[in-house]
Amino acid sequence: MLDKILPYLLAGVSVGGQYALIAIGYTMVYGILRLINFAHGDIFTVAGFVMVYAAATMPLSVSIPLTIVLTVILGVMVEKVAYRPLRTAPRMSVMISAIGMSYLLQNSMWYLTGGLAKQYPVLPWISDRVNVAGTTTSRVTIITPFLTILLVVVLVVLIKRTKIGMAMRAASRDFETAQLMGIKINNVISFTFVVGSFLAAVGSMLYFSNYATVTPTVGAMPGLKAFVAAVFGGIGSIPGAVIGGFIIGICESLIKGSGLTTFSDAFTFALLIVILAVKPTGLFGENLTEKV
Amino acid sequence: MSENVLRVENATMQFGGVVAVDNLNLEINKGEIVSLIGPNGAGKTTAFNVITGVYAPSNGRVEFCGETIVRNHPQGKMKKLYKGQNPEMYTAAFRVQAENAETKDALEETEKERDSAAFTDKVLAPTPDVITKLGMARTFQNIRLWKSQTVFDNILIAKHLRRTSGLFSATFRLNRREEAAQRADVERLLEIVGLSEAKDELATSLPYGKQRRLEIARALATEPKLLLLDEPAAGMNPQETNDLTEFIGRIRSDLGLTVFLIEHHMDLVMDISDRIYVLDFGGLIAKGTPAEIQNNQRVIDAYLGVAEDA
Amino acid sequence: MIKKNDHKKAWIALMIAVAVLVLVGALDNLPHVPSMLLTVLQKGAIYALVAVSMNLLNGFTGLFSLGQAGFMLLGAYTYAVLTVPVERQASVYQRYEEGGLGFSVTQSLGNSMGQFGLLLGVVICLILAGCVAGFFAWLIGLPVLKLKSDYLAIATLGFAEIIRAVVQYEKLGPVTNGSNLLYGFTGFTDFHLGSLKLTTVMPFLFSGLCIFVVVLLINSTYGRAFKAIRDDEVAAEAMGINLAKHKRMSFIISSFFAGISGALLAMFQASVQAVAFKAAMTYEILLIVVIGGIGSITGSAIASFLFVGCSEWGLRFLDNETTLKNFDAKVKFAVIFGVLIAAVVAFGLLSMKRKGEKLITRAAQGRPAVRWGAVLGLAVAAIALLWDVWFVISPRLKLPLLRSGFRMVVFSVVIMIMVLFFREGIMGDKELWDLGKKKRSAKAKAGVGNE
Repeated sequence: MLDKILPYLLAGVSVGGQYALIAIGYTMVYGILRLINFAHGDIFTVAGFVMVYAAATMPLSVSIPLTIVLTVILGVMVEKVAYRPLRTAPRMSVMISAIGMSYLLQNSMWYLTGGLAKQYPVLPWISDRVNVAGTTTSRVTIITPFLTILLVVVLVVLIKRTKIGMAMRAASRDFETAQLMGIKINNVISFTFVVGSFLAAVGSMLYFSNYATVTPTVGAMPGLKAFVAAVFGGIGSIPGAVIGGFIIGICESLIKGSGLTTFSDAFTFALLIVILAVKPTGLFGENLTEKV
Repeated sequence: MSENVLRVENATMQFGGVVAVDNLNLEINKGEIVSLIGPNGAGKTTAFNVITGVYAPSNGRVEFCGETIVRNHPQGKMKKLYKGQNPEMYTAAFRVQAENAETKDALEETEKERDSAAFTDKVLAPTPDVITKLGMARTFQNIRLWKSQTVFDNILIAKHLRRTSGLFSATFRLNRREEAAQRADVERLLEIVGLSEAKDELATSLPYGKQRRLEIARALATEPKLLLLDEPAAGMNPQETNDLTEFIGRIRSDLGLTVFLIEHHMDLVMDISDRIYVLDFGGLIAKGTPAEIQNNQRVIDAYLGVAEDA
Repeated sequence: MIKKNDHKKAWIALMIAVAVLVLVGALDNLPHVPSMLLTVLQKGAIYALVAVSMNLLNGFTGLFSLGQAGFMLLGAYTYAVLTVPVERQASVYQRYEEGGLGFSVTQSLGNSMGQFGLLLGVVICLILAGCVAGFFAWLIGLPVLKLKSDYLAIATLGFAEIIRAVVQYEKLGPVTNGSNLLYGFTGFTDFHLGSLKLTTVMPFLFSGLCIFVVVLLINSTYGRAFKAIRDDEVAAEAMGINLAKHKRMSFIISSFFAGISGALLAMFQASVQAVAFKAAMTYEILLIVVIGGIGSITGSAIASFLFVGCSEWGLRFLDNETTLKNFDAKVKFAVIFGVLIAAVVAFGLLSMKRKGEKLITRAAQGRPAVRWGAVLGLAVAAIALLWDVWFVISPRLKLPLLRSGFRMVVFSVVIMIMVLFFREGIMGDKELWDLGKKKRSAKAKAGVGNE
């Protein structure tokens, strides 16, 4: 039995780690800005495309860091252009701006790439096939969970031990008071987007090494699923987002394995509905009461 | 003896580990004007919120016009955190203390008459709209008018709860008579509060004092028996406060309402109240007539202070 | 007095409505009318209804829901399944044995009562489409409406996706045709009055009637209750308005009309496929609502015609590779282009000045704060102008950038500009007929004197 499930489990853990990396971006931004960054999934896709074009003209040792840098710049620019001006606007306006930004990014990608799917370059070593407990899979599948956990540990240390981390925690607790206490809120927010976009870029490299076709809308579903993972784990909680990502990845893979492929996407949303109905603040979320 | 309109029994409100209202007991009779005073943070608005159903109390009972409308006991997480008194009183485990069986039965009978859910674990935690429908209306400490609506519509919307026409007849204008009657009521209320001229203005374009009056008119539109006013004179100058004092008196005499108010303006409170309850750190520290309260040492220490030459 | 005024307004409205229908009917039947125009009018009318239904929920009740596409899907499928002609069901449902319902409402009624029967059948199926959507809204509403705004948006989005997956489920194939196309059902082209075509009149008629009902609702006591919930739901609850009941009511009504619009869309496209009703469709509706003005019904209607017009027709030229004819044409183009850019920049800077915003401000912490959006816009404009000059000088005649997909990019940029700088939308929260009056401020009233 185990050897039947194993390939799906491995695939699930792998894709789960990728979801986790994207989910962290969502949960951090939501924790501070109370904004669902709809464009995050598209930033993930852009990272994929940048890599495709970069790798075609430059050696990998240049294109990998270049992809990361460009993705980070894009993430920060999106924040400055689309979210910062609306910081005092009602929540619905910012969300609409995020949706509009996502729309713009998708259409731009479609235009620039001519709508044809691109093949992701093969990254040596991580794309190699390896043998694990009797099944062959690409090394990416093995590396992803470890890399994910490593990055998360680094991130958590950063948040708990550094000044900017403390500023981020303060801002997510009470945005206005943090500003009043002299925290340079714009820097904190930009840094949040830097981290989120960085993780999205890394996630995209791992993801596209597995699923090598890049289209403008390829990031929409993983993005949405990563968001569900963030909600499931408790929006604002990084460990929660990671656990959520892995759970969704594994369950989705198992469902695909059992043959009900059409429902693998629907499962994620059903999970979302359940958690929102039972415990809207997620597994590790906090409860807030509104003062009348 | 005057008919009892509101009775709050052993009401405790705890937020996590913080006790905001501690075993509050009070009662209000028909036609009275009763005030709730105390320093900021004493729990006055929280008490209002418990009475009107915004919060379900951690423990306690609220009776309105002889019927129990709110009832709760510590449960779930609160069971461990509860720091207040009488945790068993509103549960099935409650036992009446009496000398002999007869008195016990008699007491249990009376209890059951007042509270049909007595001696059970039943919880009554209706949403505020249910309580408003029963005849209790309130205003807010921070004015909560509907900003996109006119003065007229703000009051008209408050009459929605008394509609008998359903969605279909309202949409297809089959309810003209009811609509006309309600609009006439709104006109009358506007006259009572003196806002008839401003009826087509946006509610937020009114000066502050008039906005407060509008909020009161809105509460009156729900046809309440008991009116709860949360700091109605906040931000008003002495002249406006005088007008308000007079107005509240008229509400009682002309409209036959009972009024329960939270207030910091002592001249208004002492002038108009029949009785006063004083809250400090969530607990009741004194109750009585204005004269009694003014001379109560504990109240003076906690809140009122002394005149400089004393 | 008041009654007379109302009656007069009602008559005027009715006459305008009839005039519009007659005009549209004329366009349907006159020769030389570009078919694009008719397409835009039909699709615009349908999207107007969806946008109004979304506005009812988001703009008037304050419930941010992103599930519209799911309800449109339900309505479209209900309608299509009920009206595929019996003899075509075998070929439509080829993948499934005994697919299809075995009857067609419109066919049965149409055969017995002619055009009137057809109309009756369509109306019945439209209402059923709305009811199915409304039913699911009722189911979903129970748990979902208690959530805070962001969570409500995601939950409804999720439900829409779940509905889409379920409809494509193989086991439901005999009814829904799984993930295959449904076609052959009654469409707008089946309507005619004698020899007069009614292809565009019908969507206008159906859409218009539905929008009219929504307008009635908004101005009724329930509509006011919805607005109270939007403005301050704590106060609304305190004034006796049951939040759960009214939110559910708004949700169900909005979904009902979304379902009807889905059915109308099916009639327009003459085919339905679940995969088309993705979240992207909901986003488009949302953008239409925002452009028109959240809280304005006429705004939604106007914006949907603008949106459909631009995306289907007006901006098509942006997708075509264009080569100018000669130097003169190039100069003309360059001048017009340059003037346009300058105008937009001037307008933008003026509106910034009016609002008192600056490009770079000295922030409280001593370091300058930059309005990146505006700076970026200026940079793009500067580059465009430079390119303009260079283009005139260079020997090329082909306009760069213009190729497939550019239209949508421009479109998205315009939308972002609207969202960032014109958040109120076209109409704000006012209706077309409110533009004449103004809600007088207290000061103005005082100035008039005693009345």
